[in-house]
Parts: sequence; structure tokens; C-alpha cells
Amino acid sequence: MNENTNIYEQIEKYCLDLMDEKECYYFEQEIAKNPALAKSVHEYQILLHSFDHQQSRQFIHDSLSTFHQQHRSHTVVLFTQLKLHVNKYWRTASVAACVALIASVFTFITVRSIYKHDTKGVYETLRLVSKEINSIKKNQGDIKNEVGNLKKKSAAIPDYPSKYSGTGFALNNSGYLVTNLHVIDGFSKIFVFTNDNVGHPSEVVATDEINDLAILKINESDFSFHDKVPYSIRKSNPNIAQRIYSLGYPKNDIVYNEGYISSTTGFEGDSNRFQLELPSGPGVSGAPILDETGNVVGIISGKQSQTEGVTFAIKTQSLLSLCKSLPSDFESNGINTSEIKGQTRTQQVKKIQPYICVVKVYN
Amino acid sequence: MKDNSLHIVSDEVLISSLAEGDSKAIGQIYSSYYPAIEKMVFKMNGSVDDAFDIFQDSVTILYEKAKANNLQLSCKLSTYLIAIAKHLWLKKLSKLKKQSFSVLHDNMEENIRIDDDIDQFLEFENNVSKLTKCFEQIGDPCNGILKAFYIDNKSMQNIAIEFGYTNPENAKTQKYKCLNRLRKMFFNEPELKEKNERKY
Repeated sequence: MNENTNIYEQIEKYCLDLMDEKECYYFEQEIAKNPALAKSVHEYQILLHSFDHQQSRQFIHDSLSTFHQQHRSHTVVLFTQLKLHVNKYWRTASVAACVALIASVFTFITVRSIYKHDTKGVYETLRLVSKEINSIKKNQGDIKNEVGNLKKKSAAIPDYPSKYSGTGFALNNSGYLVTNLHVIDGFSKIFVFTNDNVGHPSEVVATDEINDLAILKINESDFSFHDKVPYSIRKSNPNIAQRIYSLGYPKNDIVYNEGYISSTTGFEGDSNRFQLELPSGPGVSGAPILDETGNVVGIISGKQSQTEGVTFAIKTQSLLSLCKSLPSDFESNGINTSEIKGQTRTQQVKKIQPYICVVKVYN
Repeated sequence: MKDNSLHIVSDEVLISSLAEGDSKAIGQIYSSYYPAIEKMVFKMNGSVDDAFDIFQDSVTILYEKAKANNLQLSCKLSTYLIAIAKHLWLKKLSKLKKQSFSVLHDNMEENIRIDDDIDQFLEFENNVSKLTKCFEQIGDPCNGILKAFYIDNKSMQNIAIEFGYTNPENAKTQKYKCLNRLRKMFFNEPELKEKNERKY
């Protein structure tokens, strides 16, 4: 091995141009004589170039991303604020505009009629009219402020603790997620926290009361996950004794658990669900159950209170039929093919993790 | 490209500070040239992410050429970058749509030779994604040692300490063993070559 190491060291020295003239000359002669050595040198050169290139591209990508993010956060905030304002408050704004218009027309008519008939009272009336306009102005200002406050309330994450939290996972790349209906039922302020701990305001787009499912959409026009969703959703029924694992948020950080399918029916023979031997706790409601190949086979919905370790999950058929009721802008791209089949569990989990989110609701 | 306020420093100065890895230069390149490239990619059916990817790749080409002192511009830097970005995007687009777009050489680009730059870049990108796959498969400690030495530029001394070798010489022997394993994987594994798909 020592001798080998020596050769490699020489090759590297040659590739990095660290040899002196004499050494270089002899080494080149050696290369000319020995095709195997020539091949090694060539391969080393390619490898070293690749290392170099990786270094450069990493450096440029990282530096540019910093500038890009600064730039983007500016424009995105401005743009979404504007859009939100226009979308949500055009009614209020148009009412205010109408009031102002009617008031000015009324003023104009009054001034004219008074001017015609009674020149003496003109100034007195004008004073009254201007007072009236001022009060209207003030009212309009109040309306504006109120609108501003409303906007802040609805788009910003409340600073008080959330009422309830569960887990949700992505159905596609553009911000559609599924969670349990009981997680969000009755609450209007729903935020999805992605694994970078950024909260995104979300709305409910579809629910299934019987199967306790809800599909959420992140209310940001430019939201998307980094890449295509890596897992697929299995259409067939789960098999008894199949090994499964899950990823959820019983606490602020993601938690991995594994177990097996212990029964293909749920609580008291419920055929829409199935039973798992898997530790679970509050907060993992809505977490995906995945099989060895990285397919989603179910969604955690609850547990049997007396028995430790018994968890119930909703079958994927219910989810797939609920997806069909979604508006046309839902493209289920990515839930048909598993990208992580054949990878090790650690690799799978690493890929899946960004697509599992915390769902928090506020009063 | 607007010529006035954006050109605070000349192209030559910008390129030489880019070659040194000056982050101010990179910031300047971003603010001067990204908007135009984004606009162009938008016009050609791309998204913000596409535009930014293409921009990153274009600047990487520029950086590598600048660093190797191999950049002889016969035109303005903006023209060069836009031409590179356009070619890269058309290549990507034709791959995505599985049909080919002919790259139109309009007047602006007539005198610029960029095909070689792009081909070399794509070959490097290919090698890097192959390398990433190899790194995934090679396992510890080779993965860590090779990355520490060749990518993070750590000294053998530090690597020996970090990976628990009694002296740098031992770590060095291990490094060569690892590099040799990597080389065998990189050049001999047919399976790896098939899996290896590039975006372009």
C-alpha cells in the first residue's frame, strides 16, 4: 500500500502542477511509457476538475442566493401587500369613494344654489360645508386605518400561543397540504409552518367530515416547495403486518417513529381506517404513514385512549377521492411516482422531511 | 442594459474582483444583470426559479473563466452574460419539452464564442452530479475526508484531528485510499452512469 500511496501522491502532485521541472520531465516520460499510469493521471485530472467546479459553483450559488433572497423578500412583501389590499378591501374602499363623491356633488349643488339666491350667507354656508368635508375626511381616514389593522390581523401570525397544532404533509409542490379535519375545525386562522419555521397563512379548500380529512392551501401566490414531492400516495389497501414509519410534530421538532400495521380495520371495525402499532401523541394528527418504499399508505387520525401504542390511521382512498373534488388548479404532480424508492431509510426521511409541516390554528 | 448608474466600475475591474471571490462584485453583478436575465427567461416561458437557476449557472461560468484568467471579452460583460443565459435556457427548455429549439444567433451574439464555454460547463456539471452520487455511496469516513480536503480546503493536520488519526501521514494514506475508491466508482460503475441525468 505504501508504494501505491507514493504513486498517487506523485500523480496528485503532477496534476496540481507542484512538481519541479526535472521531476515533471521524468514523470512525463513515465506516463508516455506506461498507458495504465496515463489513464490514472487523466482520471485524476477529471476528478480534481470536478472538485474545483463543485467548489466554484457552491460559492457562486451561495453568494447569489443571499442577494437574491434580500431582493425577493423586498418585492414579494410589497407585491403581496398590494394584492391583499386590492383583493380583500375593494368593497370598503369603493364605499368610501362613493361617499366622498356624493358629498362633493352635494356640496357643489348647495354652494351653487346658495350663491344664486343668497350671496350674504355664502361664506357662512361654505364654512359649514368645509367642516362637513373635514369630518368626512376624518371618517375616511378611520376607515383606512381600520382596514390596515384588519389586514395586519389576518396576514400576520398572532403573537399569542396557538389553540391547537397538528401535522400536515404536502400533496403537491404548489402549497396544497392534507391534515385532519379535527385539527382545524372551527378555526379561521390557520398557519402552516414549513420546516424552516416560517408560517404561511392558509385556507381550507376541501373537507371530509366522515373520514376526518381537510385539504389546506397556502395562501401565497408565489409559494412552492423546493422540489417535487418525493413520495407517492398508494392507491391499494394496506397489508396486515406491513412495516411502516411516520414523521410528525408532537413537539416543535420533527419526530420519527416506526411500527407495523396491526389490523386492516379501525376502531370497532371501521373499514375506512386501519390500526397501527406505533407510538403517537397529540400533535401528530395528520402525519403521513409511509411504507418501506416511501409510499404514503395512510394518515394518522387518533389513538385508542386505554391502550398504549395503538394508533388509528385513515386509508388513502378517502384522501384520493377528496383530491378529486379540488379546483382545477390543483395538479397532483408528484403524488403518483415515488422518487425515493430503493433508498435507505435515512435518505428517505431526509428527502421527505421538508414536505411535512406543522399546522397551527388561532382563535 | 442601462449604462449609466449601474456601471459603477468597469467590466475589467468587476471581472478581476470576481476572480478574487469578492462578494461586493457578486452583489454588483446580481443587481446589474439579474433583472435583464429574469425578464428574458420570463419572455421565454420560464419562472423566477428557472431564471435564478440560469443566472447562477451563467455567473458560475463567468467566475470559473475569470478565476482561470481565461476570459477575453470581445463584447460588453452584459452581452456575454445574457448570451450565455439564453443558450443555457434554450438547452434546458429543449430538454424539458423533449424537442429541440434552434439557438438563434442574432446580430448581438454574432461575434461571441460561447459554445465551448457552455459545453465545458455542462460537462463539469455532469461530473459534479456524478461525484455527488459517488459521495453518497462511498460512506464514512471517506466521504468526510475527501470533502474536507478537496472541497473545504482543510489541511491534513486538521483532518487528522477531526477524523481521529494519530498523525497527518496516516490521514494522508487514508485520503489516497479513499480517492482511489472514488475514482473506481466514478469511472467504472456503469449503473451510476445510467442513473445520472442532467437538467439540460
